[in-house]
Amino acid sequence: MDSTIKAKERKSRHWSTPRSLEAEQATFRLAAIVESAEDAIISKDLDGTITSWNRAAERILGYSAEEAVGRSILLIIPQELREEEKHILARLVEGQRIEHFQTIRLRKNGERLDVSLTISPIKDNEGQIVGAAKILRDITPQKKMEAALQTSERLASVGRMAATIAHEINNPLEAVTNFVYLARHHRDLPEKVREYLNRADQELGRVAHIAQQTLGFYRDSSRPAMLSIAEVVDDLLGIYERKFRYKDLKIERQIEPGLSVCALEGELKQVLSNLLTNAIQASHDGGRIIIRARGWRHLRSERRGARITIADNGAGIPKGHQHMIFAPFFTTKRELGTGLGLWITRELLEKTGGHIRFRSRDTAPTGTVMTIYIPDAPSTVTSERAA
Amino acid sequence: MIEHLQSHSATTPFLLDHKKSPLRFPSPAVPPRLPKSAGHPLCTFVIDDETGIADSLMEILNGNGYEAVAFYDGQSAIESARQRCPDLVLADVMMPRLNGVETVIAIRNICRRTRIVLFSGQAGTVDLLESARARGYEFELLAKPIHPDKLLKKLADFKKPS
Repeated sequence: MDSTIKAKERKSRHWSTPRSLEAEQATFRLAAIVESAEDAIISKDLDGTITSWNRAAERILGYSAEEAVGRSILLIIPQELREEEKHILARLVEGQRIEHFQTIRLRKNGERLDVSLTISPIKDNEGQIVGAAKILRDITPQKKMEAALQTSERLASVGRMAATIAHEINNPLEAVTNFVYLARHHRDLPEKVREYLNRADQELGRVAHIAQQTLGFYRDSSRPAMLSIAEVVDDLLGIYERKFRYKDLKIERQIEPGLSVCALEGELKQVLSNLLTNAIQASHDGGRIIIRARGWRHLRSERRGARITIADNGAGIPKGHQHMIFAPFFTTKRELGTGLGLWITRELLEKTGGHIRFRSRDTAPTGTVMTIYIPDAPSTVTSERAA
Repeated sequence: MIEHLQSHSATTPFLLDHKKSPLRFPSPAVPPRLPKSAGHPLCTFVIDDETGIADSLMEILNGNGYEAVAFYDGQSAIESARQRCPDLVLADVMMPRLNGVETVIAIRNICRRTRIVLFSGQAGTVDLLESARARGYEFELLAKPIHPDKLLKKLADFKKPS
């Protein structure tokens, strides 16, 4: 008993009397290391009150030491993860160390950070656990890179699959289309059979279009050609006619007469078809879709081109989704959507210097307006002007 | 489309009779054709390992004022081109053994004035075309399936005297 008291006294004397120069230097060195560390180093007591906050913590989490020290650690924990803190504290009390725990923490500006935490108990002179030291590493950039890698891997496999299926489907489709053509033009054909074949031909046109749209990734390597916007739009309206009728949609077509751009036909059709399909799917029965196209000169580059607007008075895009609609694999159509339509649309447009903008609201009056700008290929600008 | 067909049939009767347009391989005795001779049907090679496509296209072309011959592989088309240059070649890209791009490059080296169009159902073919481009050969590529009306319209442009 005595010896214990003496030992305690010795310890308390050691801490209460002025420290030796050596000990002070050691403390100073430690403090300097903590201050200059790349990772946030935070300490807290067992109530979860922050007791120290280094410079990296200020930088990573956005709060100054003055703002953070004395406040609860919950300050940086998202609402839905606050239970986590209880478990962490429970493990600390048992003297356990928590290593490389990946979770999410909040910056002062509300931004969410992916972090890796290592938490060790802090003991007092008597070995009692009095708090915890937390080393927090911001792993947001790594997480983003991992996500990008996963996405590109998924894309690559989708692409490989699409190419394989496309080849398997497009060849028989070509043969059947040709044979139906030959049958349709046969001399001694009963009128009724000719009518059936004409309908079969129309349906084949739809299959061909769908194959190209969904198996798509249609890399059109032929040279850009002068395309009449009215003709391209009418082709597409023909393909979707049945869908318009099915939903009783009213289509308004406002196309500047003679408007044409020099572009790749496959790509232009894919872009317009993606936007039109979205408009149809968003529309309520009896809804309205407006397709407007006019010549336009890009404000900054002064490049000539066409500006095409596809507007619907359908459901609209919820605010929470609006920042994600151009991301690959984002879809709200569940099994019906690939989540690639708008992503491909934007890729195709931006590749040639075009762009896509949109406005949408999901509260009355609802609807979405997608506007694209398709630049004219520079080489044809002169010839078209002359025409 | 329909007008186009009608204008064609006005000058060339619409023939689908097999006897009148058989699968003919140009014989060595025939002297080389002068390309794009006005008024004459264009001698066209259709090359596709899918026999259904090669045969049907040949028939469609023969019924629309062309003189088409079907080949199921690149090598036999090249051999025929050595005997007689076609005015036009329509070749599939992905074919076993000799692919379409290599085939048309060989034909191009034999027949400088032949018009060449490739068609394919696969996006992967773009890479083959790129490598051909790097070697200095440029070919037009059509995507399969292409509707015969559209194909005929496209080919009709080649018939116009340049």
